[in-house]
Amino acid sequence: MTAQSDVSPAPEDASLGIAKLIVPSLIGGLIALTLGIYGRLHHPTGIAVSISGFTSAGYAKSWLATGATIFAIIQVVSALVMYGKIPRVSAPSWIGRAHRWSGRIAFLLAVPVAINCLYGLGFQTYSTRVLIHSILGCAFFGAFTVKMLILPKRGVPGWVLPVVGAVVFLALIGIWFTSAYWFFSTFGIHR
Amino acid sequence: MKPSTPVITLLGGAALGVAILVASTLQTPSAAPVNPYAATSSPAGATVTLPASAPSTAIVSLTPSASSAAASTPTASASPTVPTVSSVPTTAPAVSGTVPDDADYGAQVGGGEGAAVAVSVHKKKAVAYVCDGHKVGHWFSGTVKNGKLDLAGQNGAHITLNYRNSKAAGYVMAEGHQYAFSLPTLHGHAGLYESIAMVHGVKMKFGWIVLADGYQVGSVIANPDSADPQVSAAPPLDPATGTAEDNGVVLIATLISGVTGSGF
Repeated sequence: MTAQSDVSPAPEDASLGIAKLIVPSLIGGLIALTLGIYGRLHHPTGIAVSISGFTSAGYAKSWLATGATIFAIIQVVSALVMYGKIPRVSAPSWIGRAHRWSGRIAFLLAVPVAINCLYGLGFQTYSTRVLIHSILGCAFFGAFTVKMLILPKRGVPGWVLPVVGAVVFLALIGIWFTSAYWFFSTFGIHR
Repeated sequence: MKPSTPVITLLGGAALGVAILVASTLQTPSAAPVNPYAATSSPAGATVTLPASAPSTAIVSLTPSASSAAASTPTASASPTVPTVSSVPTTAPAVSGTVPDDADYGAQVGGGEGAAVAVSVHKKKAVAYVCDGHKVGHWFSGTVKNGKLDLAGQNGAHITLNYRNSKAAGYVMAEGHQYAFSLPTLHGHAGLYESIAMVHGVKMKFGWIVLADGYQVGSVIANPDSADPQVSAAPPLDPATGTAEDNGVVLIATLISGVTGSGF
């Protein structure tokens, strides 16, 4: 979620740069852990606050998650453009803003889904799909926190943001396949 | 570059999350509403009144040592008479009203940490179920007589209750614990759900109780017909679709309703 110019070109000390990742990583880990423990301890109610316009919470969550995933794909594409990784495409001036806002929207779409899941269903382990989904769901918010906290830091090695960004993206894709994709393919695609 | 914008994004998301969580808490009447046991009379002096706030220590266990412990529990403020028999009291609390032909009841049990009981009566037949979404899951079925139900289940489980047109009250004995209950009638999506399926070669009997406020609890019994059935938590049921998913198997649940006769 940063323009190319924000990436420090030459960290003066690599180990110092890596050291700057410790606190964000700890905070991110703590957030993932907190979500998981809450989801495990809170007795799932089966329902949470309903989101109007959908036939059920499952559909509301599936569509919100799909929206978040689409914006996450925009994230990857805009990041590739920013880093000049797409041949013959030069980064337009607005690409940084597009990257930041698509990220914010993806995040804000994912939050209600997560709260619905944690409150209504909790951290569950009764099948492989559900276990993977629960772990990735908690890990996603931890990884996203790490990414956000690393962003403003100067002197972090150049590979860090792309790697953390990829982890966040892959977690979300895994979450989507183990939830919305499963839900739509099981119950059909409608509102 | 404004260094604080990513943090603002995070805080914004956190604020949104907290707001939705609060809204969820407010919209769900209670995450774990404990139904206060409210028997109107105590016919045999065997009534165990568990206050709404009774912790699990107030559950009356029927082993002798635990009985004395329960009797001395100060939270059992209504001075319960601890049954000394190894089954539920033979007389369930009286309930006033007329005896319906068909009815569905359900609620959480007193002091049962989320465990619930559901009873469906259709003509002369009745199905009852108690589960805690953890290690308790017992089914009962049999015939009713004059608004009274008294049935034995597997492994010493036993339920006895009286029911009238608006309420059912009684006791259930499960896994060495006795729970008192008072059940309002259930309608619509609320009720008792059952699904029997072969999951990876094992016969599984799923049962869920969904209450009017959306609270649900479900257990699954593996090998229910064997001498050693294993009980564990059931995957959450979506009452809107009547389905749940277990290990990649989609379960179609049946609403057991005395009023409509479905499941009987």
